[in-house]
Amino acid sequence: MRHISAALALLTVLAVTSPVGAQTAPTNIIREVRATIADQNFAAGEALIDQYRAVHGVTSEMIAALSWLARGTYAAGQLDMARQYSVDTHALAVSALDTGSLEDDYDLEIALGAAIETDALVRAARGDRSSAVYFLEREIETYRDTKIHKRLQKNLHLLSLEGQPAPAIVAPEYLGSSVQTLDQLRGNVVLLFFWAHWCPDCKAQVPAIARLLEKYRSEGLRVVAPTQRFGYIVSGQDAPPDEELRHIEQVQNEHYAFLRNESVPVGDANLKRYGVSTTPTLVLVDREGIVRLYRPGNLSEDDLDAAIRELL
Amino acid sequence: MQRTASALLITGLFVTLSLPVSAQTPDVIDVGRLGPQIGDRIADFRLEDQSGRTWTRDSILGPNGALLVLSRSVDWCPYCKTQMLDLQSRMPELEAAGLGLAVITYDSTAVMADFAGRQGITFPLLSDPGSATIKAYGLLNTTVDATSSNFGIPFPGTFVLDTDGVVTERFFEEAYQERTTVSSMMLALGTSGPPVAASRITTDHLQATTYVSDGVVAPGSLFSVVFDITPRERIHVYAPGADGYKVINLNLDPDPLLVARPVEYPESEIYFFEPLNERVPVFESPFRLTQVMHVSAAREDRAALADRTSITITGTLEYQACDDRVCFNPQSVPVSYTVQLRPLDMERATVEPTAGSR
Repeated sequence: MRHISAALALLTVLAVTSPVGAQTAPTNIIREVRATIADQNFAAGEALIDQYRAVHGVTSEMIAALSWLARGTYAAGQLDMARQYSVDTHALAVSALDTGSLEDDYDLEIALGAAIETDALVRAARGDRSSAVYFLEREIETYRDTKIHKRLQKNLHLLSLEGQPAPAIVAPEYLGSSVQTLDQLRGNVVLLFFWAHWCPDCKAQVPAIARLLEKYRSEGLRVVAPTQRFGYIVSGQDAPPDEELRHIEQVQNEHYAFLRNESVPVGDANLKRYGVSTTPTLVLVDREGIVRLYRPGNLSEDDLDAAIRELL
Repeated sequence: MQRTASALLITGLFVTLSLPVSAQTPDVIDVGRLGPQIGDRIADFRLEDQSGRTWTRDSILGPNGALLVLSRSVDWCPYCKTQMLDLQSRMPELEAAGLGLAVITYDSTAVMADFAGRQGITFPLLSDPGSATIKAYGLLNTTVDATSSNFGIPFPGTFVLDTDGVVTERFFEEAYQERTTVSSMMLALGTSGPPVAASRITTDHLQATTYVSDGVVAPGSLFSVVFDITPRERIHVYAPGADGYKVINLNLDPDPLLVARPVEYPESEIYFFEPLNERVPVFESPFRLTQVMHVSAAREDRAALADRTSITITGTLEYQACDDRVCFNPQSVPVSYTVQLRPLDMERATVEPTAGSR
C-alpha cells in the first residue's frame, strides 16, 4: 500500500513539475493518455495511442503521450513496461529527429528527455546503478548542446554516488594482499577499480591505473580492485566456484600484474553495494571517505590523473 | 588456436551427449550428396495425381517456383502422412509466397486418393510407378531390401525450385522420422516474418522478438525457435569464435522428449578493439538466431508422448554485451514456448498399396 501511495505521489510530482501546461495546452492525445495513467489503466492508454497512430501516424504529440506511459508505469513500479515504453519512445523520437529538432519541437523534447530519464531510472531501480549512470553519460554526449542536456544532467547527479559516503568494502575472499577496509584506508585517496575476468574494457584500463598508482602511491593513492565470480570461464563454459577463482587469478596474473600486491576482494556484495553492473567502473573516494567520482566505463589516463590529483 | 579447437570439441561433445539416443539408429548415409543439388535443374516428369490429373515439372510451379517433396509413403509411413497435414495446413502461406507444391511417392493413385480423401489433402500427390522418377533423381533408398514391399521409396526430402525448375534449396534429413516443417523452411528461405504470437524481449542491451516457427508439431517435425535480435546503439554481443568471451546462446532446459540441434548463427561482424589490438567476432547489427529441434520420434518415447497434447520448451537466452568503453554483466533471459502435439497418422490405406514398383 505504501508502495502504491509512493508511486502515486511520484506520479503527481511528475505531473505537477512537468512544464507542459505552462507552455502549450496539452493536445488531446496527451491529455487523454495522462487521464488513463491517473487511473492506472495503462492498457487503455496504449490503446488510445494505437488508435491515434492508426489515424494520424507518428507525431510528436503521440511520442510525448507514449513517454507519459513510460513515466506512469515506472511510477507504478511496472519496470518491464516502463522499460519497453521508454525504449519505444526513444526509438520513435530519434527517428523523428531525422526531420525535426529538439529546439523547436517541445513535445519531442519532452518525449526524448522522459524516455532517457525513465530508461535510466528503471536500470537504477533494478540495482544497475552503473548502467544507469553510464547510459545517461552517453546520452549527454549525444545531446550535449540541446534542450534536454540539463534534464539528463540532473538525473545523472541523482543516480551517481558522488558526494555520498563510500559504502563499505567487504572481503569474504580475496586475491593479492589482505583487504583493508575503507575505514582502515581513511586518510588516503582510494581508487576502487571494479573489474571482471571476461571484460576487455577492463584490460584496456590497466596501463593507466598502473602508472598512476606508481606515480601517486607516495602521496597516498591506494587501489582496491573488487571483482566477483560470474559462474563461467573462458568461452562461457560453466565453471564451479573453485575453478572460476583459479581462472580469475590466472587472468589477473596475465593482464593485471600490477594488482599482485594490491587488494582484490572477490564477492558480489561489493558490486551490489556500488550498483556495479558494468565493468570497468571507477570510483574515487577522498581522504574523508566520500565518493568524488563514480565512473562506469574507461577513463583516459589524463582524465583519471586530473581526478586523482584534485583529491590528493 | 589450440584453445579454440578444444572448446569446439567440448561443445560438440556436449551436444552429442545431450541428444536422446534412439534405439532405432538410422543408417548413416550422406543424403546431402544424393540427388539434384542447388543450382541443378531437376529432370522433367509426367506423373498422375490422386484425382487422375497429370503433372509435369513445369506445371507444378507457381509464380515464384515450388516445393517438390519426395516422400516414402502416404500409406504406411506415419511421419510422411503427418507431414502432409503440415503441408496442407500451410497452403495459404505457400500460395501467398507464390510457391506451388507437389509430393512424389511410390504409392498407387488409389492409395493417394484414399489418403487425400481421408485427410482432406488438396495439393497434388504424384504417383511414381516403378519409382522411375525417384530413381532418375538418384534418390532411391538403396538400403531397402529389393524384395521388400518398401522397396522403391526415396530418401525423403524437399526441393525448393525456382521458376525454371532449378533447385535453390534442399531440406533432406538423415533420419527418416525427421521432416522440416513448412514454417521452418520458409524461415530458412527468409520468406516469412514473425508470427503474431511472438514475444518481445527488451533489456538494457538489446531488443528481441522471439517465437517458435510452428504452433502444432508432430514427433519428428523439425521446427525452429527463432530470435530476431537488435543490439541497442553502440552495443555488441559476442559471436561464435570470440575466444574468451561469452557467446550469445540459447540454453535450453533439458527435456528427454525434445531433441535440439546446435544454435544456428548468421555470419558475424569483426569488432576491432583498439586498446587491446583485438579483433573479435561480434553481432552489432540486427541478426537472427535459429535453433532447430524436434519432439522425439524414438520408439521408446512413444509411451511418454501418448497422453501429451502439448510440449513446453523452456530455456534462457544468455549473452554478454560490451561497447567501446564498458562491459555489461552477463545476462540470462528466461524464455518459454508451447507447441501443440499432432499425433502421428497411423491409419493405413484400405486399397491396393503401391504403384507397382515390385
